[in-house]
Amino acid sequence: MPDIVNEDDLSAFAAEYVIGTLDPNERTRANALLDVDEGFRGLVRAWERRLGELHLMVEPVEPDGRIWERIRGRLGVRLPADAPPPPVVQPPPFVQPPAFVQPPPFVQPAAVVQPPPFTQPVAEPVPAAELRPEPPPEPPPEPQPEALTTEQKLAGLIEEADRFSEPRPTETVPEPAATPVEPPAKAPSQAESLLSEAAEAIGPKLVPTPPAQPDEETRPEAANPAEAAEAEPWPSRDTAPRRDTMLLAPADLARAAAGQKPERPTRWRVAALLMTVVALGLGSLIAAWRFVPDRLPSQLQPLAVLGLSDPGQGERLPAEHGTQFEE
Amino acid sequence: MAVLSSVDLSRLIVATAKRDAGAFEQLYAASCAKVYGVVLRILRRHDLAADVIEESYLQIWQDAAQYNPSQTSPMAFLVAIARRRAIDRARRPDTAGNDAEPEIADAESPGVLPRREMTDSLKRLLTCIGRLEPDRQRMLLLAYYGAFSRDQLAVKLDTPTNLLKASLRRSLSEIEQCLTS
Repeated sequence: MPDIVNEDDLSAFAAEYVIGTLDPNERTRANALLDVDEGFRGLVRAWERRLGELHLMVEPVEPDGRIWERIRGRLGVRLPADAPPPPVVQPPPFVQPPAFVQPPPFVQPAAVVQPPPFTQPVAEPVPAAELRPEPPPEPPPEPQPEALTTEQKLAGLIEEADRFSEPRPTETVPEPAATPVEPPAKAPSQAESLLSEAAEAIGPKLVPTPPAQPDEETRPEAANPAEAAEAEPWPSRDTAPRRDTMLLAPADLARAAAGQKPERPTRWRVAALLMTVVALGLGSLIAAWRFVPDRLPSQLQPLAVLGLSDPGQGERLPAEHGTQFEE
Repeated sequence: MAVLSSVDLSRLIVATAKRDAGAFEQLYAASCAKVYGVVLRILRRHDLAADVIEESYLQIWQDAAQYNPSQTSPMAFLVAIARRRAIDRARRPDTAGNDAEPEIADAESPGVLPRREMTDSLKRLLTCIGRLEPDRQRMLLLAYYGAFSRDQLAVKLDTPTNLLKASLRRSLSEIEQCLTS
């Protein structure tokens, strides 16, 4: 090795070996040296120790499950049955539909009075049902459990961490000189700014990343998280293929952890349920008016309820309610 | 996948050294995603990364006895083995030729984690790296995470290779001094 004349050079050689910048020939020589030179091995280990923690900043990526099968097959050892990863299989069967199945019985009496309002409640479940298949692609059984496990794994790995729980400043700096974006210039701030440096070092790779990890990541588009969130309030379908590659962004983790995903479908379900109940109530009332008006308490009589003198108008009004459902 | 602390991982590596296959399986389950993330960032192809992961864990099975809990964190130990293999693989002529068309687009490479994941030793390291000039900080981190060769790095940073090498070595030596001070 022409460039190694003393210990310092050897240490630098080891450092470059560890960091990975040796060219192929040098690397071959370093590998050969590792086999025979205890001193060099020690230097390499020392550098691996020094730089090793940098791996903490790389996101975990779940590998193909078959890799373990291959490893196991090559161990030549009898292993206990492979514990299948316990993905918290999110049961897509939201057994809400029964609530919507109920309308039909009422449809008959109501249909006599006013078909329109009651086709709506029936139509209502349709959008709701459309929503249902939608969640699986988004918080599919795959990403969600994965997000959890990686998160958990990291939490376990770095038990002593968590010193820096404040939100990250905008680490969007495309130029290294821009580190001053970091707020406080105290002792730890150096480490903090380095984080942005690291992000930036990876930045060239990540900058073009479109919507998937908008707010948490370190790219210009994320400069305004609110804007990013607005533009992409909900992971769009385009992100789905990326999830298939099992790449997780911190934003994904955060989103999963915050449990935001279920929120939206739930709101829809509640709204749909509410609409159905209202429609059923109106339908029953109208049916009662039509078929058993005399058995209704006086305060439920059409005239009393609608405050109208003409019963004809009384029937028209609920119809207008019905048309609202159509929206 | 179980939630495992560093202590648990250490215990699993020690048990693996004693040929405890069950412990090894747990170790794999608890660590493979992190190791895979590191390797994938370097190789940017799932097929290559999968090969390297397979070889790496076989080596971990063999070399677990070399693990010294008092010197290295368990993850750093595992990652170091896999990184060595990943970089070796990346430098192989047949792999280097494929460099032009990575299966994983740059944009899809695993990113960095939020700072709350930082450990004390990572903080110390970053503080030392932070004392370098901004350009050198960038060079160093880019080198580590992408595991580019000097030539590739020189192109990326638009710097003559010789200059880059000198700068790289000076930076590394400064970091060493900073960490030991």
